[in-house]
Amino acid sequence: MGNKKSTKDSLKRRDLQHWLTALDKKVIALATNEHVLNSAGLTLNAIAYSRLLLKRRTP
Amino acid sequence: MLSGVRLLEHSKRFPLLDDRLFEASGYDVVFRRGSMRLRLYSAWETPAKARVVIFPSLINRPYILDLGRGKSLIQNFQRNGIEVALFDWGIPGESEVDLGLQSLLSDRIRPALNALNALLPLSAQAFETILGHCLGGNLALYHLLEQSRRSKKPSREQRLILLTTPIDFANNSILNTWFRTPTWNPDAFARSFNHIPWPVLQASFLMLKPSATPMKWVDFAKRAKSRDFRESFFQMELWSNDNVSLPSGLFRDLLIPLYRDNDLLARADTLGSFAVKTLALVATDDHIVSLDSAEAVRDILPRVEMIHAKGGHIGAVLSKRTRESHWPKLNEFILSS
Repeated sequence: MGNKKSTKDSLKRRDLQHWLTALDKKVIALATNEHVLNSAGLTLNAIAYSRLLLKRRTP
Repeated sequence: MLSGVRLLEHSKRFPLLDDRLFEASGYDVVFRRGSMRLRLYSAWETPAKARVVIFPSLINRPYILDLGRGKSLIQNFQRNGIEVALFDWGIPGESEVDLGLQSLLSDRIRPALNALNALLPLSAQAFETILGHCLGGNLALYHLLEQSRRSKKPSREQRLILLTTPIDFANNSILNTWFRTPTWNPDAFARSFNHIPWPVLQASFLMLKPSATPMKWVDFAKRAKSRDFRESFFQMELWSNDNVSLPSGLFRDLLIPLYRDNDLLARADTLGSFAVKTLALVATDDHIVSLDSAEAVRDILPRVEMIHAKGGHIGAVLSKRTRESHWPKLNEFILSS
């Protein structure tokens, strides 16, 4: 019985691992996509320049 | 010492956590400037047979090299008659926003090492090794470059140990891809902050392997009955969430040249002329510093011995396997004549 339970647990764990690894690949593909990166770069620049402007205005 | 641990201690929910899990060894502070301290851990025998000067990573706390319950690299050195000097970069304050690389090297690191040598000169037979961990390894290399720029010949043979240090930043790793985004201006990003907030850096590391966080807790739920596992888990968990915000000056002077210009490879000719004996420990399953990047130390330094340790970025340095099979090699390297 104990063996059966641990085999079932290990299968569940392996399924979860496969699923998470596949999810990793998708997230990373999105996070390294050229268009996504370029948009993120522009957004970060906009935030940075706004912060710099605010810094300059704050005495 | 560690606000997170204090918080947990006060909550009384984790009575197993105590400071000895995190900073196992006593030390003296021999130099301080700004938030930086140079700590000295005496060897367990006198006189010390050798000295190792540790450059820890700039964005993490240094106690990762002094974890309790037999996981302290520092105690391993002390036990073998090696005196340890360690730079604790501290938590930079508002007055250190503009702390740049040159200022760190010439106004802090060099005077600290001069003070150490004046206070506790090593015997003529003893050797000194510089050990850099992760980004601290890059800093150690810049320290050597600074020494050579000042045409200061070291009084004794130079030795260097690099632990999971990235060298080549021109590969396709995710961090490099992000940093090289053509539309992003990292300089403006750095200038807009006083210190680059640690959660920003932390989030970028977590994004490298998003499944690692849920899997870590699944693993914890399964093995939490073991006290050893629990302690190791909380040691890693608390350390990895106890980070330091990086002064924007260092982001500008250190990270941008490394990631955007591959600065160390660009200085390969100068570094190649150093007669520094080097031991590099590289991690085979490192998702933060890729194996290619760490192995590129062979391309910039002439006398490199390499250890391939199984495990990830930290596991390869601290795992039981490394403690048993690779730490003795580090000791041997430091003590060899």
